[in-house]
Amino acid sequence: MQMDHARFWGRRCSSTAERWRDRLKASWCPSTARFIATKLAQKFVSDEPPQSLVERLAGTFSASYGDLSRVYADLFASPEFAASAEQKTKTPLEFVLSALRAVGASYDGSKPLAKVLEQMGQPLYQAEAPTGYREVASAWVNAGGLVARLNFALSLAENSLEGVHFEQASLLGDLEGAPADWLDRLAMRVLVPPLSESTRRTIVATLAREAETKPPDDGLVLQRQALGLLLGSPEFQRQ
Amino acid sequence: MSSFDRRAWLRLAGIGALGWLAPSLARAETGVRRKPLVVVVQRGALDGLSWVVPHGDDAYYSARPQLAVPAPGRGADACLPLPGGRFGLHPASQPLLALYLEGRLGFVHAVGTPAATRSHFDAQDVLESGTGGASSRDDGFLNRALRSAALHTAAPQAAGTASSAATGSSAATLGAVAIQSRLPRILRGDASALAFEKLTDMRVRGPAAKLVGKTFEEMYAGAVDEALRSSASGAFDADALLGRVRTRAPSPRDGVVYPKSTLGRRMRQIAQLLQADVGVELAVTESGGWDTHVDQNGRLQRGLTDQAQALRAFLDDLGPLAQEVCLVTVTEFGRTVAQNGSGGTDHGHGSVMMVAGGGVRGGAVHSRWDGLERDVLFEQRDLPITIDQRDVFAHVLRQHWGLGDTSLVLPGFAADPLLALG
Repeated sequence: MQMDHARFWGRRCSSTAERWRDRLKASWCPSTARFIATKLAQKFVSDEPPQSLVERLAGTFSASYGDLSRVYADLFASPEFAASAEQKTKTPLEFVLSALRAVGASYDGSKPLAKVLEQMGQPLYQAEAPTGYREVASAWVNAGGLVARLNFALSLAENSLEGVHFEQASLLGDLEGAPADWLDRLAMRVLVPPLSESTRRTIVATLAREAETKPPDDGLVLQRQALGLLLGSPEFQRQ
Repeated sequence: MSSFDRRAWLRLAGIGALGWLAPSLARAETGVRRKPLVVVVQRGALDGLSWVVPHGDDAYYSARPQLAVPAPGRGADACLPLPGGRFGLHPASQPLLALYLEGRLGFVHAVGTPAATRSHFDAQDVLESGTGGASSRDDGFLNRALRSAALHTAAPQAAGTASSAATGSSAATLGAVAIQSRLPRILRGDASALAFEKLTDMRVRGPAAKLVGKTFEEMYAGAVDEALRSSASGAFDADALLGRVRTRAPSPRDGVVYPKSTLGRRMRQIAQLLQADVGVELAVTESGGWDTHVDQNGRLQRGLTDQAQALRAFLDDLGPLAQEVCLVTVTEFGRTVAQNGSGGTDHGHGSVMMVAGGGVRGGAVHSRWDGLERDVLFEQRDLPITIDQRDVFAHVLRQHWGLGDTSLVLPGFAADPLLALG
């Protein structure tokens, strides 16, 4: 295998670095390439990425002597990446940020939101050394964490989280009529992936029962509840 | 210390044929639910030499001229003498003394993991994975213990579903809980375990919570993703079970006062869970603040006071139920024998474990104590480890849970036959 002697890890390098490179080259280990390829594929494609993709990325890594930009280029051009939407579960941080962005919330940096992340199992800046926050869903998807997610979704929709605020009227104000008429529109608006039939049916039925028991007075009670349920739905947990 | 003395000490300490725990009668094989095991992980490396003080060793006092806890009778902050003459209890642990004297609580000294690391992370990893550092595993050994024991448990638990007992893969009972915000490494793995800081955290809150909670339950029952679906079912089952705990929420027994601290709150909640009888067999929690590089005496005074009050309140609060419970504390490693230049001690090796509860043959400091002379110290500076933490846990799992074979729980570990004769 030939390589450009003036480059190492994708950079031009001095003669000292070249000596180091040669030493590293001598100890270059195929399992390093596979390890890094697996990590990247896991991050961007799936918790259990296709072996064929991992092998290809590892090949690129080895052939380029660790030029990560080439590995990324291959990864993002791959059909596996193109098909990866909704393959992964959001980490708590991803979930919270995506929900805040979905409703266009402003956030003043108050601490309670950090507390929320801790309850979901991902305390800010406290990744376990040396492996860091884990990339696979099994680290995040557990009963306690899920309850914390649902509570966050409901509080956010009610605008009752300290330091967090969104304009309910502008997000929900134009949703009129029966929930079945506007639920899909709201779902599109907050970027929930297409709702499964069962989720949709469940939410509509709940809102209908709600509407019967107490007629909404300010007109947005059902919309807020729908929003909370959507952000807490299984669909919204997917990346 | 001569070898003769050492053998005498072994006999005195009750190691050998006596064992640490009386055999448990509630055996898993009979289908009876496992007796509750409660584990407190003391993170940050608790100084065992201050908690259970070797006041019989002159080397202790010469290594710590300013920090050593004085021998019994030497002033107000002297250690409390324990029968046997060699060890004393830190005065801040006074609430535990009565339990010790009644034989309901004992210590294991010069105990730890065999890994020679002085990194908190690495040592906790070795401790919690139960590997002794020989291999890396993602799951914790207490989680594996749940699964291993589950193989023997035929009967469903009190409030659970029939299917969960055999596989341990469903969260339908509150079999294992961690009273802290994150599931600790020691409890991670295939068997289900719940983590929550407060009983009230495990419920869907807010207006119309009941209706909305029901909706979430239905949505997740139909979720395509298996992991999401099973966690959600665990969450709603747990919510229902914890609802029972919350409504019963026994206030502490008369005269029992938990300290107003994190550990106090956590121990109180474990007591509530055990009293509510919702199937908890394993509860884990943790305490912190033990990394006493500076101002060790002040920090330990506060930390050990809090710990002793919390643990004592816990055992008192349980009342007769305490007879069924085994409470174990463990820390990742001990601290240097010598004091440092900033009124503290640094990362060391061996430390102390505490074991308490009904089946415990307490009233002893179990140890293979060789003294603190420089030539017996680990790397000439730290308390050597003469008993592996896994020996203690293997013993507890065997005696308390009736776990016959610990090879899956503690892979590659052969329990010390001298200690296993109990």
